[in-house]
Formats: sequence, C-alpha cells, structure tokens
Amino acid sequence: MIITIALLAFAVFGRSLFGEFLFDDPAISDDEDSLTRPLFTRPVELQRRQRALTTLAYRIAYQISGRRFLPFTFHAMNLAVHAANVVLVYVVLLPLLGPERATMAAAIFAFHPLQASSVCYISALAGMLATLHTLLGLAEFQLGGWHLALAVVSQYFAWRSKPDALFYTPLYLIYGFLLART
Amino acid sequence: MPAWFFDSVFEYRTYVFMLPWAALLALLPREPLLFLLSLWIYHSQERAGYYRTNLDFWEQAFKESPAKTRVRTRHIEQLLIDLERKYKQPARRWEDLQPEIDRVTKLIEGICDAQH
Repeated sequence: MIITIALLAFAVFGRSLFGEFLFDDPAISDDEDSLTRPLFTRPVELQRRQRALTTLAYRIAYQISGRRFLPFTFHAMNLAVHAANVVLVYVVLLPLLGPERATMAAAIFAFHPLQASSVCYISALAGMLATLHTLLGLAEFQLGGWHLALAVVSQYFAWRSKPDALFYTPLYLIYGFLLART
Repeated sequence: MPAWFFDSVFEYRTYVFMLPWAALLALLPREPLLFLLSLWIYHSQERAGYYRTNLDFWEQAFKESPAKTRVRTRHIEQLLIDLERKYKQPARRWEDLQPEIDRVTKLIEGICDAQH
C-alpha cells in the first residue's frame, strides 16, 4: 500500500517533469564551475561546499543527463526523493500511529498541495534531501542501541544537504518523547 | 488554513514540517480525511501544473503573495550590485557580463508579465 502511495505521488507531481528551470533554478544551470566537475571534487562556491550532498545530487543529475543541464532529470530527482520520503514517513510514524493511520499520514505527506512548492521546484532539493536524511535518522533512532550512531551520521548528512537541518534536531526530542509514551 | 498563507510565510521550507502536520491530521476520522485526500490529490496536480513554466509560476507566485514580489525585487537589486562590482573589475570584458544582464532582464520581464 505504501509503495502504491509513493508511486501515486510520483504520478501526481509528474506534471512538473517537463517544466523548465525557474525562479532560482537558473543559478544551478549557470553554475558550470561547480556542477560540471567530477562527482567528488571540492566545489568552488561556498554554498555548494556547505550543501555538499545537494551539490553531489545535482552533479549526478548533470551526469545522467549526458553532461547537460536537462530540467527533466533534475525534476525526476526531486520526485524520486519525495517518493522515498513518503515511504520513510510511513516507517517513522508506524510505531506511533499503527499501520492504518501511518499510511494516512504518509498519504497526506505525499499529496498535500503545499508539497508542490518543494517537489516541483528544483532548487528545493536541498530541503528535501535534508528531510530524507532526517527521516532516515528518525528511523534509526527508533531502533535504539548502536543505531543511534547511524542516526547521528544521518543527521550530519542532513546538515550537509542544507545547513537549516540543524533546526530539525528538536524533532528527535519530540519523537523520542512520543515513542516513550507508546 | 489556506495554502497561500503557508506559501507566503514558509514557502518551500514547510516540507519537513509536513511530517508532524500529517501525523496530526491522520488522527481525523477516516471519511473526512479520505475526502480531503481526494481534494488534495487534485489540487496538488493543479499546482504541479503551475510550476511547469516560468510565466505560470510567476503569475501564481505574485497572485498569491506580495511578499514574493519584495523578495524578487531584493534579488534583482543584489544581481545589479554584483553586476556593478564585476563591471568595475579592470580585466572584465562587456561580453563576459552578458549572461548576468540576460538574467536580470529575464527577472524584470517576469515581474512585468506577471503584473499585467
């Protein structure tokens, strides 16, 4: 069921696939200095260095597009990350809400119109990757034990996707509190 | 809460905070929730359509949020400041600045198109 919802999310926001680079996106397609370089080389620009994982994702999209800035591939990457996030929302909420309500919550997360601002906007990939790693961190956190170390690593990756992810860390406190109550 | 409120206040930064919001909403009774979900699927698809082209996006953004006009204006100001700084560099040729000039022109055209 959850995989179906993730695929449906892909279909619902799929209208963005044939869109252009827009708003702040031209800053990506213009940034040949940082994004056309080999995958693991150090980016020139400070923001690209701070968002190392996002830069890596853009470089991968650039390489997949045949060393071109093809909006389709970048949009497809956003959609793929969103679909992964939908599955992770389910995994994270399952112990709190049970299977039925967790599926509902994942569906809300997948289809809420507000998500269009992120899912259809290539420059918002940083926030989506930060969310992906935070959700992975929360999924590790619920397992406890040595998985806590992996949660720290995931949160570090979230921070390297978008520095704002530092402010996502209170989610762990709230999540831990709610887990303890169930 | 209307979507434009979230859009103008939080913009795409709402993404991660949809997690607790979704968890809370999932506690609603099932029937109204399924009704909301079907509406949201339709509305999400519509919004994804708005994001397909620059012009549609600008139009939608400006219709929904005057705050975004201010953000774009500041963006253009910053681009012009950068342009002036680069222009003052002695080794810089006029042709080197053309991509930035095109970018500023495109942004200003976007605002004009959206406001007419």
